[in-house]
Amino acid sequence: MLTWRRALWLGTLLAVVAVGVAGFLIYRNTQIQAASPPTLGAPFSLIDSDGQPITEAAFAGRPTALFFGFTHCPEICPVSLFEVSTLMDELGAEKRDLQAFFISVDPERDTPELMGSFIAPFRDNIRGITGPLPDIEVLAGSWGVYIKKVPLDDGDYTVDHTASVILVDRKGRFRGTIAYRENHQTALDKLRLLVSL
Amino acid sequence: MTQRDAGGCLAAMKQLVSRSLSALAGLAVAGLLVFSITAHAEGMHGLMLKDGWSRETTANARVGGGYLTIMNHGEMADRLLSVRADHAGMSEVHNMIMQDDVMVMRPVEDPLVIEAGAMLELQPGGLHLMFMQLEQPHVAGESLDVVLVFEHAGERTVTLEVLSMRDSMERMAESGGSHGDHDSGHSDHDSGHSDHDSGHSHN
Repeated sequence: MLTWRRALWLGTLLAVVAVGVAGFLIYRNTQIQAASPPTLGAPFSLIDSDGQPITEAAFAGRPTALFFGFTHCPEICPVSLFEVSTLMDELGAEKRDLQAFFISVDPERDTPELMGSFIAPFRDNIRGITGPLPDIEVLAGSWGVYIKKVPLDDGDYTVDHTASVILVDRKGRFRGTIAYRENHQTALDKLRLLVSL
Repeated sequence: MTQRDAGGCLAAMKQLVSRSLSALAGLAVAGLLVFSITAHAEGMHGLMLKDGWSRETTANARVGGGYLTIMNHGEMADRLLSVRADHAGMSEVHNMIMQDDVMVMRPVEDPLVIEAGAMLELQPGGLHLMFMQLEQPHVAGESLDVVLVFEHAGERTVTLEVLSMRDSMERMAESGGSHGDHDSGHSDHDSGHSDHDSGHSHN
């Protein structure tokens, strides 16, 4: 039993790596990209955490940090949102027009209301985005973000997802990522640079 | 052996024990005796649950995490069979693995094994308690009582201190940068304890 469970785990993990590797290769660099940054992303029409329509126009002309996650997430999502919001506060005046979005990878459970509640402590810095799952999948894919809904034995499910924060400049170009639990100062420097571009 | 001989033998043993105890008392400064008494007081199932904490959640959060250290000072391995908490409809042990920037979180289906003399840490970035169907949010400054049911030690209650987001970040920073590295379920931080393979299959 031990063996097949291990095999199952290994198999799952290998599958995750295999499916995700193409996307990750694009932004594995921990350094922010200065030369010929790729234009990623796709048009979208979704709902924000205030229940209002939101499209790709919301990203236009402003440096933007994107985090894909979900509210049924005890650690990475709240910690990442807290970290991004804290960094933005620490930037002070240097924050300028920097904005951040928390995009649900679990829109079936994450209603705009629930998203709004989840980001409430970070409301000054972060807006939530949710909407139909197929549309979210297209948006995530366009940013090289991996999403996989995984059914659990008890009928519940979880969602595997890329945990990095994606950094987009004013012209909508991909400039790098902030990894989960990245060095605080490094992350701060990346945001500062992103705003200056 | 006559009864008298046996009596003499017993007396000799008593004397030996007495002398040994005196010697041992001399070592009490080193804390060995304290450790020994503690271990014996807890009998064969010398589980110690400590450093329990949790992270505050937002008002409508459906899930929350919990962390603690389980030390087995006993003489036999024990297994964590189930978890329950009044504040959550369902409580389980989950494991989190970061795989190339992708977060993978799964319930741990086989009971966690805490080997004799070993320490099992449930920490951010790895094994943790997962509270689902929260009846009430985790509020910073409050505490949560959680019952862990062990195969041998039975039901043991541990109190988790709920930390604010800021305090929880500090706590995570203190626990070091070895996150994502805890899937073996064991740590060798305590040099006095051996680091066994726990036998659970989530690595």
